[in-house]
Parts: sequence; C-alpha cells; structure tokens
Amino acid sequence: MQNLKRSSLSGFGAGIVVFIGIILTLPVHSTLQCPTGGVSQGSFAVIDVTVLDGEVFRQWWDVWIANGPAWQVGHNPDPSENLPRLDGRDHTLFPGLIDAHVHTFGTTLNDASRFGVTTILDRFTNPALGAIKRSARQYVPTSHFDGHTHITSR
Amino acid sequence: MENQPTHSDESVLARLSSVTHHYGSILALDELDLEVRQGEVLGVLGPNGAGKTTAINLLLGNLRVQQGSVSVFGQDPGAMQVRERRGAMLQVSGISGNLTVRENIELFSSYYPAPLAVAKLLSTAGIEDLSERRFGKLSGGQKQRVMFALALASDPELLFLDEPTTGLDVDARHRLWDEIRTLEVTAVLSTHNLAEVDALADRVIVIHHGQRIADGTPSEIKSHVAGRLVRCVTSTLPDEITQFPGVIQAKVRGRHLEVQTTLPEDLVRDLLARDEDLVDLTVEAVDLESAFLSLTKESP
Amino acid sequence: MTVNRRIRVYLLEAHYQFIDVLREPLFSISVLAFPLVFYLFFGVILNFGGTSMPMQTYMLATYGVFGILGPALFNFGVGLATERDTGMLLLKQTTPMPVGAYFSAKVTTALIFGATVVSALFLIAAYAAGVALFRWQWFALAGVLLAGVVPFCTLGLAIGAWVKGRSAVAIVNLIFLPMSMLSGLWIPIYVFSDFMQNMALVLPAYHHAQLALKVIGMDSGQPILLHVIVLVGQTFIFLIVAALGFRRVGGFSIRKS
Repeated sequence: MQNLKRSSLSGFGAGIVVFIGIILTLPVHSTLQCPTGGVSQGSFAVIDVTVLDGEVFRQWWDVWIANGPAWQVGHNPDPSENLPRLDGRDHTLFPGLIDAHVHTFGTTLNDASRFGVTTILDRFTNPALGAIKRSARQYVPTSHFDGHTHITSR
Repeated sequence: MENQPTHSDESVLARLSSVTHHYGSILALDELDLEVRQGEVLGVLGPNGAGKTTAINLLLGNLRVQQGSVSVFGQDPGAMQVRERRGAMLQVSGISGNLTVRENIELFSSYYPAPLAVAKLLSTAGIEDLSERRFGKLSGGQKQRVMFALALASDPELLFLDEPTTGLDVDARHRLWDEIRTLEVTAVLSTHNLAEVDALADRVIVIHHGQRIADGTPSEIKSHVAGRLVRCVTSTLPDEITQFPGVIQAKVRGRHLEVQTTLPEDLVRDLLARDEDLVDLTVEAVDLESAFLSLTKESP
Repeated sequence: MTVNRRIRVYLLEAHYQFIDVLREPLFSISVLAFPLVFYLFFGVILNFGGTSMPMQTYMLATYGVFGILGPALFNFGVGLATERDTGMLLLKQTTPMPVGAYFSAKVTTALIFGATVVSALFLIAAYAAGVALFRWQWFALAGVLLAGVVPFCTLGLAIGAWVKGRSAVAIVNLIFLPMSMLSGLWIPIYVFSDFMQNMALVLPAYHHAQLALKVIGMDSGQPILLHVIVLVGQTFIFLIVAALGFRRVGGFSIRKS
C-alpha cells in the first residue's frame, strides 16, 4: 500500500514534469535583431514575414530593404546580393502609421515608434519646435507589443 | 411476541429506538425498535417494501433520523469511529467496473485504519482466482462475493448485509452463505428469503409495513410458513377444520377458505368429501408474504 | 483520520479513479481525439486565409478550452450520475472515505486528461501549424486553460447531481456541444451576428475562451475582470444547484425510479 502511494505520487510528479517540459520545448518568437557590424545598416532582407499592405495581411512574404526604404516586396523576390537575412516568421511588417492628433510637448512622443507611429500631426504648437522633435526620430526603439514585433522604418 | 428481555448496553452493538421514517407521504418505518446484540446474526425478514433497507440505511447513517433515535457502538451511526469499525454489503449494482477485483479491494482497504490484508480478503470471499479480473466482467455471483470482501475490508466488529443474495442463482447463493457462515462477527442480515435467515441468523425479527410483527428464532418463524396453503371456494367453515390433523390455521379471505396445513393431501380429500360443490381449488407453498399477512392479521 | 492516512486516501482515490476512466476506451478516445482532430481540421488544414488573425493560433486557444471542457463535464456529469445510480457512491459513503477525496479525485482526473489534451494541442500547433508564442504566453495559456477545470467541473457536478445515470451522457452532450459551438470554440465568435455574440455572454465557455484568447491578444476586448467575475459567479451558482440536487435525493442515495 505504501508502494502504491509512492508510485501514484511519482506518477503525478512525472506528469507535471513532462507537462512543463513539453511547454519548455515549444518554439518561441525569435526577437528580430537589426544587423549590426560589418554590414550596411540600411540593407537587409526579411524572409517569410507577414506584411500588411494597408488592406490585408499577406503571409510568407519577403521584404528586401536597400539602404533604407523597402526595395522589393513579394514572394521570393530573390535578392541577388548576399545581404543579411532575418527570419520574419511570426512577425508582421506594416507601413508606418500616421497619428493625426498629437500634442508634442513633454514625453508624449516617447512611445510613438513602439506602436508603429512614424508620422504625427501636431496642430497646436510652435513650428520652431518641429525641428527639435524631428531630431528625436534618430532613436527608433524596437519592442514587443501583443506578441508581434513591429519593425518601423523611417 | 413483542416481549423480549432488555439487554444491558454493553451487549447491544446497535439500536433503533421507536424510529419512524417517512419518504414524503409514504410511511417506511413505524415506531420500529431493533437491537443488535454482541455476537449474534440478526435476521431482518420482511417482504419487499417492508422497510428493511430503510432500517439498514438508518443504522449506517445514510439517512437522517426523522423520529426516534439510532445508535451504533453507543454513538451516532455516521461517526467516523463507527465507520471505521463496521462493514456493509448494500444493494449496489456495481463499483468501478474497469478496475480489477484486487484494485477495488485495495482502494476500499485504504479507507480504513487497520484493514485486513488483501490476500486474506480474497481468500475469505473465495475470489483469489478472480483477483486480476476486471470487476465489470464478472458474473452476478462473483460480483456479490467481491462486495462481500469489500464489506470485510475494515475487519468489522459489526457487519451489515442488505439482501446479500438477491438475484443470485442457487449455487452462488449457497457459496455466499457458506462464506458468511465461516465468519464470527456480529451481523445484521436483511432479506425476504426465509431460507436465508434459516441458514444464517441466530435471531429473526419480521417487519411488515415498517412495524415489527414477529421476533424469534428462525425455527419459530419458520413454523409460521410450514406446510402448504390450500385455497378453495366451499361452504365449509374454518372452525370445522381447525382441529383436523396437520392444520396450522384456517380462515376465510374473500370468497375463499384458506387453510395452512402440513398434510395437504389428507385435508383436500376431507374437504372434497364434505362439500361436493367445492370449486377453484389450489394447493401452493406458503410464501413469506402470505405468512406475514396472517401474522399481521393475528396481532390485534 | 491522521493526516498521513488522509493524504494516502486522497492519492489512491485519484489514482484509481484515473485508471478507471483511462480504461474506458470510449471516454479516453473521444475526450482526447475530438479537440485534436477538430483543431487539425479547422485550425490547420482548413485554414481560413485572408483574415487578420493567424487562425492556427486563435484556434489553439479555443480548442484548448474545448479540450478542457470535455473531460471536466463528462467525468463529473456522467461519472457522478452513474456512480450514484449504481450505488457505489452510497457504498463509499458508508466507509470512512472523506467525501472530499472522491471529488478531488474527479477534479484531478479531469485535470490530467485536460493537461494531456493541452500538451497534445500545443505540440500539434507548434510543429504542424507553425505556431510560435512567447514562452510566458505558452505557460500563461496552459495555466488559463487548466484553471477552466474548476468552473467546468462544478457545471458537471450540477448536471450529475440532477440527472439519472442512463440519461447523463445525452444531457451532458446536449450542453457540451451547443455550448462549445455558441461560445466560439469551433468557429471564431466574431463571425457570429451581434445577437449571438451577446447570447454567448451567459456561457461559461465563452468567458473562459476570452481569457485564453487574451493571453495571445486575440480576444474580443472585454475586460479580464468581467470574465473572471462571471466565471467565479457561475461556479458558485453551479455549486448551489448541485447542493440542491443532492438534497433533493438525500445525499448519495440510489435514486429509485
């Protein structure tokens, strides 16, 4: 009877370990790292990414970014150059968003790029301040939101 | 018949004192008194619906007491100390059918502080060869023997057997009787089968419509249902034949004369001779129910 | 009853109840296979294209709820009703077995089956449907799904307390299948009309599914607190309904028809 108790206890224990073990082996989102060092910062390809073209989501697309802007988009555009390739699975690319009603004082723009907003309209401010705010665009943090990484281009 | 010596409390293991129980508007027990004494097998005999199972379930603490009092080992029948010292075989059609006999017994044994060894239970109930079989695959008789083993798991001081052989064939019934007989334990046996109390009980109480109508040894009770029951429509009156050899009792029921006798052939010859217009003659075994009915009629 | 013996009774009761159910092929197969096959079919093979959400991820959450709901409802609803009608429950009640051991064994069994379905769904989702989540999301989804055992077991308990063993399977199915459908476990809730979406607000499976979808950011956008309050409230209602059912038949006794 003691044996039974021990075997059922170890059975429950083993079950819990297996359950947690299975979850630990499951694939997780890769974090998209911007290529650094040795390559031109502005040129790379994102492979198998989901692209929002403004109307629908297109899955398994490749996006080739050359010196800044997206240069070629579609299924297997086959970038001839030997560019760094990023695994885009589980990630979504979309054009920068426009926030048409923002007041730019204080820290209100800190999170804009995190949420994919690359263009803002402030209709109540001193135009002279615009130049200062524009310089803040140099810093583009990438972060996670709702399980998807938004890569924002300029 | 209602008189019985009152026993000191030490020798009484369980007691119902003027217990009345209703199911809605149906009266199941009516001022019933019952004592289970140390060392005896008490038979509780009665036709179906007499209140036997209600009495057993009250003694087991499965039903809430409505009126009167119930005690087992001097305590509340549902108390944990009581549960640990008793065993019960109820009218249960199944336990976990996908578990083997051994697994079921192991599970029930785990409920008790000092259970009998599983091997001992298997051998007492005569089911060693069935121990690895799934309970659901067993025959009715085999299942009842497993239930019997479960009832013994606690190494009980008091055993409740509620209709233990109902639905079993003769062979299976006798096997179970043999196994029960080898026990030396105080037991309450409820049954509607006179042969069963005769085989197993030391003392019998008969209940009918929730009332105790008789109390005695099995042979005393048996004498009430001895012989044959002769029924016929005739002009002969009961008084004319009560003195006839073998006649236990005679009475009129409806249009029929009913005579209980140990010498039915002689009686029938005599009845036919007395009344040539006699019709609708039947001779049958005295079933318990009619014996009980006669007992109820007797008591004023 | 000493603590050590109590632990042993709880363990053995769970151990044997689990084995008993495991050996019931109809239960094991249907409870395990239904959510997996449905998920493979609707979530992976018949993948609705062109929608704004990856269906295989969305349906991982909803079929997870379906997979938890099944064993909890059947083990409690059908198991309890059958075991009461055969008299096994009454027999156990006459022993010193704590009633809690019986019920915790039922919950444990539902939990083990639920965890099995969830692991299998996760593996299919990850390796056949290409779903990837953050690690915290995998764990949170598993946790939210398994927690559903509590409200669903009490729902099963409420059913089992009222119905007879023979009709239990039919009645549980009558609740299980329509509720799964109307809660959006098979087809996403947002394809239903507004009226049907509002109707779903009364269903425990809807609120549980919304909590699971919350983990992967695909829920309908109602507050977490709403779902939690409804589920906790319904759990209490089910417990009361179950208690009334037990009182009506006088505890665990066999119901005579």
